[in-house]
Amino acid sequence: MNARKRLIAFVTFIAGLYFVLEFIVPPTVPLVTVTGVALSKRLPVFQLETASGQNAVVEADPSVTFYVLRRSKSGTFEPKPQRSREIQKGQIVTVRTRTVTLGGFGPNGERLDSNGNPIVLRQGEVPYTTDGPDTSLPVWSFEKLMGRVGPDGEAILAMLDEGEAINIEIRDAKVADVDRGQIVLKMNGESRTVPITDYSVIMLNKRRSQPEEVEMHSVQVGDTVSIGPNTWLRDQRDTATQFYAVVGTLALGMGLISLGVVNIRKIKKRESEWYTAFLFFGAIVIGVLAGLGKYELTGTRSRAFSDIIVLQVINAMGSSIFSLLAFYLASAAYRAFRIRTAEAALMMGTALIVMLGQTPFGMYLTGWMIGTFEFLQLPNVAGWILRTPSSAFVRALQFGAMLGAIATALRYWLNLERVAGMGDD
Amino acid sequence: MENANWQVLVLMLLFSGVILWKISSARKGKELYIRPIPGLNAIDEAVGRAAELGAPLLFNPGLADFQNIQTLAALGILQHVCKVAATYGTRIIVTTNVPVMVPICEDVMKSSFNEAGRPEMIHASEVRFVSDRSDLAALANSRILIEEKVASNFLFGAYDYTSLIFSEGGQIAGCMQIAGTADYYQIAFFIPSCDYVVMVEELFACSAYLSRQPTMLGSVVGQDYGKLVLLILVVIGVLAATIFGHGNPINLYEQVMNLK
Repeated sequence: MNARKRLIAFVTFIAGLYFVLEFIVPPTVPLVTVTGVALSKRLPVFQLETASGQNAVVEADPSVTFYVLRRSKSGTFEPKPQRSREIQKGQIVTVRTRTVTLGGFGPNGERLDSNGNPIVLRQGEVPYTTDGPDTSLPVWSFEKLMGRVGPDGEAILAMLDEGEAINIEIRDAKVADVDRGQIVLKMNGESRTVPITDYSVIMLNKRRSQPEEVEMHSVQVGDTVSIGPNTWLRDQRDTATQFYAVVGTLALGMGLISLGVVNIRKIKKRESEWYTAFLFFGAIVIGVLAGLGKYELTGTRSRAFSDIIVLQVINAMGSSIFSLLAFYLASAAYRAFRIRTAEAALMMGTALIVMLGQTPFGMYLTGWMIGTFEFLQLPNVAGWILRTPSSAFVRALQFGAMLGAIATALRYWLNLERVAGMGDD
Repeated sequence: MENANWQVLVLMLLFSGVILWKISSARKGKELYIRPIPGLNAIDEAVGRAAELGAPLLFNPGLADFQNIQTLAALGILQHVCKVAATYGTRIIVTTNVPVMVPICEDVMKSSFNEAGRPEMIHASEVRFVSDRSDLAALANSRILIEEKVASNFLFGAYDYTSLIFSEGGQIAGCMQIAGTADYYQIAFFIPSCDYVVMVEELFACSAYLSRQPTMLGSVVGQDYGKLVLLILVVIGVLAATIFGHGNPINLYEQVMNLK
């Protein structure tokens, strides 16, 4: 085995080992994790220094969402929601403390929410409109664009109409101090106060499924939770998968070059219908132009062309292709149901029962069978076929697929088989 | 599921242990039997047919990314198809809807042709990225089948609802078609449209079956032993649910307890 192959085998093994460990190691460190029934809790409290130098205090209740700036796929910075446990001291964050729907005006002209309570802004909070191309994100730059939100939040509140929603946020604030709070658990008949630290993860244990990580505010009295320090591997998974995303993006250009080469050759050699290759190059130009407007605001002229190409041309063509399936299904079904062998006859019979059983006609044909023979009604027989033999076969296939995948993964991981295309030459 | 629980961990270790044990015994020289898989036996026939007709082959390694285990299995089959095609001097076209697959498929083809002593058959442009959307890729695939008068069509890997468009295109073009996928809902579409279908776990056994190396055969036999373990667990589970299942009308345990 030469050095290059050894290196590939080593890297494959290490990468596989990471994912195996990541999968097997529990989400919290086992021996220091405590499990019990939640009796009470004290929510985390964040001390913030706003961009204008004010101090603000935020309690991480269910209405609060933290955001940090992350570079998006398009290269621009966008706010990304964060779990409160991910927010560290010294970090610059934006906090959406609540979203309020505007109601009418109070007797003194103050603005009320939809429940009739006055909207009171706490220190550091500023209201923002929810207008924008994606209302699920904070309106980072749209306040300037819309000319509606200024530094004086109260004045803006007076300008907005009834029924409009506003986000109340503290933007670009520095986290000065964090109190993670605590949970009181009942363990083995005794109450125990578990302080939450920077590394604590709260897992909600469920009766019928895997434990799920939850925010402190989601924990209800009576929930069974496990609290323990986070494992290092768990937080590195995103980094590991991002590596592949970067490589994949680089390959997109190679795919385009491949298409270009094929179409240039078509034109050069004057292959059959060579002139269609020009359509490819035309489509590339149109695609690039449409892509330029993709991140513009909805309703603007620069976005309109992108919308025409994507929503009115590509999506419509996709639906047309999908409709082809109906015709292909008919021809495939015709071939499948031609009775040539005993197996084909069995399949035909089963399909007939299931199809009739799923329609009212099945009941019309066999509805007279009542009492002892009710189980022979076509809907009942069809239901039995789907529930019992069919689901049993599907599960058998699932088992086989799972074992096959384990065996193949083991072969690749332990370098017993080299993945084709991984440097055999 | 983000993390394994103890039951999953034990089962993973059990299955991996069984597979590694059979690989180890195969390496020690123990003869192993694998049942014939008609779809894989027909690969050489399909390549031969294309050689007789002087027409190219078309191979599609599925719709999934390189990370998908079905795609990796499909690449193993592509390697074999390329080697057989090289011996006959048959041209191969590979289509993909995943850009990252273009250089990988090119590398598979190059190494296979070199190994078969036919480096002159390397045509990099024969790997074609058709579209990143599966429906458009299926249409492009069908178009190439007709335009290039393809003799044999191979569809191996992960497929979605467009599987029927992929395979019916070949049916209309009159190709000999062999398909293989572990997406069991798509098998029903491949069966009426293709001449041979490699089903679910057979796809993962392909490279072992085609290479006939003891290590690989051992893992396939280990896979079967794993199924035996699962079968025993299912029987135990059914019996336990019947005897102890809460609310079961034939719950023997409850009946005995009630009698007491």
